[in-house]
Amino acid sequence: MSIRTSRDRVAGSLRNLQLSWTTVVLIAALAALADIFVMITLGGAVGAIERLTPPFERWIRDSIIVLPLFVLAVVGAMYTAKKLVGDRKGWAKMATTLAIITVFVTVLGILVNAASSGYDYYLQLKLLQTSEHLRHPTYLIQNGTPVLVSGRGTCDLTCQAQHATLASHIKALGITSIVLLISNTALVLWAVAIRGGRLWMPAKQRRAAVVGTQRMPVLAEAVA
Amino acid sequence: MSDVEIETEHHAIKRRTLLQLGAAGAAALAVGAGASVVVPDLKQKGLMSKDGIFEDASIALAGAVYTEAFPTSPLILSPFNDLLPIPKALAPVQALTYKSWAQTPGPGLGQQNSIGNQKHQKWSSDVGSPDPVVYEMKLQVRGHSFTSSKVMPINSLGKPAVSYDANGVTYPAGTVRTLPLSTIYGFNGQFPGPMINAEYGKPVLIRIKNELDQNPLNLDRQDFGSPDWSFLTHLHNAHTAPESDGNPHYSMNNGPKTHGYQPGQWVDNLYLNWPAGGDDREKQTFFWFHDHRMDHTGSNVYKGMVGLYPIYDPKNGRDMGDERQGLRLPGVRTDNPDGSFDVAYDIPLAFFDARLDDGVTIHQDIHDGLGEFPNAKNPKKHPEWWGKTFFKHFPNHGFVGDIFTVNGTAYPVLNVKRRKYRLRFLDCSIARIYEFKLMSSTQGPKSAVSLGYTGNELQGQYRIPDGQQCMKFTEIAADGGLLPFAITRDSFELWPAKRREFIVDFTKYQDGTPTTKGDVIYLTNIMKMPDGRMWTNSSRFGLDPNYKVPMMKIVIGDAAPDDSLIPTGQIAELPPVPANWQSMMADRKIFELQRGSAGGEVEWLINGTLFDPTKPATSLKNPSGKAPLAQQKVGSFALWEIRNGGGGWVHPMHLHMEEHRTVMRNGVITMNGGDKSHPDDMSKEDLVNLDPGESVIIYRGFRDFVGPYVAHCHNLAHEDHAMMFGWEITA
Repeated sequence: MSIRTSRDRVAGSLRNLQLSWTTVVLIAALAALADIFVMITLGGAVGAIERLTPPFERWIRDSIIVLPLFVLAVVGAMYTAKKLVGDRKGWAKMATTLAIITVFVTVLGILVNAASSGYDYYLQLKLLQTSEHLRHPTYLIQNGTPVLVSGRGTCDLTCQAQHATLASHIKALGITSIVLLISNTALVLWAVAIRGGRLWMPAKQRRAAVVGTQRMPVLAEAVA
Repeated sequence: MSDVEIETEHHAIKRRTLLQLGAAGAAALAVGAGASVVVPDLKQKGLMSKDGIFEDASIALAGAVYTEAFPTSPLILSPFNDLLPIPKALAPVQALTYKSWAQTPGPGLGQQNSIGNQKHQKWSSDVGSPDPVVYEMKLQVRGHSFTSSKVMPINSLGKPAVSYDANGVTYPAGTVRTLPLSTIYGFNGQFPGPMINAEYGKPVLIRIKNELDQNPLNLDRQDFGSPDWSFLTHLHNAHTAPESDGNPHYSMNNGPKTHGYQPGQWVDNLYLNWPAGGDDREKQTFFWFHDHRMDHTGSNVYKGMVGLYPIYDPKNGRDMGDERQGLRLPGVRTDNPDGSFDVAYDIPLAFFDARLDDGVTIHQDIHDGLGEFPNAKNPKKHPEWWGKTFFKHFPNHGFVGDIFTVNGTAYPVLNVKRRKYRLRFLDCSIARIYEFKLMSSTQGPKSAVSLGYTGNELQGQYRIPDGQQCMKFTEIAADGGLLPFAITRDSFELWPAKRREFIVDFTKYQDGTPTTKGDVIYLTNIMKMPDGRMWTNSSRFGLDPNYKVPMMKIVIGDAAPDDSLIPTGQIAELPPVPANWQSMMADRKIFELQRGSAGGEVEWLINGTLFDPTKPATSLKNPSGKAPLAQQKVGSFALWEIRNGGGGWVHPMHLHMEEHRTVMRNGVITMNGGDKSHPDDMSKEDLVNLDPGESVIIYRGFRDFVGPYVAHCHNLAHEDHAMMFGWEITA
């Protein structure tokens, strides 16, 4: 009984949002494809060797996997926008909504990239710790005699490599975050433009939704 | 519906249509413009595949992550004045002398090195040869001059720059300077090191002594070269026992039981000059020796540890340096009283690119964190090193220089007679690949600066804008020795560690017009390679017609007698590949060269792991479902597959000890030739040149010796960061 109520409540909220589901899915799909492209690029540049599977297949697969997250992000962004600007009309509402969508999908993209990068770093640490190559002694000459050294201070060769690896991940994440912001802004604007500026449900469907006869908004929109 | 609503709807439709048309147009424009830029770029890089765009994007991102600054070398103001140094054969040590040494060379236990813990696996008598000819070389700290010319310090924009000296004096921009000597670690203190003219059937033993702890000239050692001053000399690619092979899989576990031989120590490297399996078809023609100390091979080679070792075949006078006999390849031999011999008209050319410090580029390297060069106090600028060689041990994109040298001299002059020459090309650079052409130029070389170039376009310093090909090369040999047939070539690539030998007929141009005394020809590099990753432009991938860098001026002189011939028929017989070789495919061993992608020492991997000097590597799973260890029984033959795991890099993969035949490249059988990109795949080689994404299957033997060897990428920045694996021959 309570489950049914929750489901109804979610469905009701979505109805009340009066979203253009085609636009939502389009934005989510484009953002997923772009952000996963960036994630794979990130992996190719600084990621773990174990995960360097053929990138094209991985791009398609991972984009499909994260698509629901991006749909949620877009819906969440539009919900937030509606809360912020209410039923006002015009460019201000459009601009605010687009900005919030961009921020939401970009934050999600950065999180996905960070998670991927974190997993890469974990795998790389494992490789470093098992590497015999990094355990060989290092010598330098002091007062004319070879002296065994193993790094500077308490940081040995493995530790140095860990630091260098982490630094490369952080820097790469910083660069890709900027790339994500730019690419997501462009894609959101483009997706809304190709939909003729339609972010919300058309007026006819809105009226139908308000009276509660519209239960399948996406289908209805498609038919319309 | 009211009139107002209708009008609004009407406007809305117009606005939507406008937006949609605009978006569609923008998308079409973006796709069109993107394709016109991206597609040629991908094609040029060999990345035109569905995965290529990802690799290209990763390359761009990696480039942004690892910011690296390299200095711009001072402009050499008077190039093509210094004569090309043509090495003379090193004199052997006389028997009376070496027999008086406290520890004489010999086959006994403890006689192979100064540590006294090794013996030669096979002595010369074991292969029916006389006692070896003994040479002695000392590794010494000395200074080296790349040019006698004055220089103009410039920055990356080609503008005059401030310069410095070791005494702390600053010279204002525009001051013409003389280069200081660069500190080298050289065999007998020279770069390139001595040349030994060897012969099959006459073993050579070189006693190499480490004197790098002595610094009689009190030279600044800077921040590269093995930090413990150790060495490990490898004769590339002699058929040699592990103890004389100079490889870290051996040295870390045997002999010195560390990276190499320390100051005060010596090793006797015995080169039997005996072909693999005693098979004349395995004979080679041109070796070189270089350092192979683990983790610092690149810095030691860059610091000067390079030497030359042409090898002749006196059997039936076939290729003994006498153009009146055998194959009649160019060469007039003079036997010296000391037992050595020189061959005129047979010239080794060692190509090496250097970068000189500008005094303002920060020296920063992962190795700074290891305390290997504490005196340098890096990261730090070093104005006191202005004009001396600059090196970065751990360059993300590899290391290339912007001054091109031949036999240790920048932009030299080779005076030739009007006759045929045998030119032996060797690339002893860290990472640079060259593509050579013989060109004439009416206007002569112009500095890249004067032509308005900046940044990486300044690499090579000079251009011949009106350069035109005027002669062809006749290739007669590659790293595996003589080719089965000569190949006429307009140009050829020379990858790191590769050797290729050519006959050039300086009596006439390619159109048949005779040359005349005083004519000038330029040996020209036409491959643009701004970093160690790979070329951006070459004949095979989008030639830049403006990139024609003269590396050596060749001046035609008087006519000279010439008894040599350009071979028209078969030159050499190749060792056969068995007819049933394809039945061995399922059990082949597979090794994939990969970009490790992490920072630090694990940048380069093979089969997902770093080089482990303590054990042989493991193959990837082969079609039989097995992942065997890299071990072969002595006397066996096998197929190995070497893959380039991508990332937009090229790799010259080198396998020690025996030559191989390339039987397949990218799934196509190439051992009989036919691959236009790699025409000498039909010959024997010790290097597998891997373009991006390529896969090569080789057939080779494992004969005569047992023990540990290595295979590695000969981009030395890759090798030093673990792109190497150990393999073994078992009894």
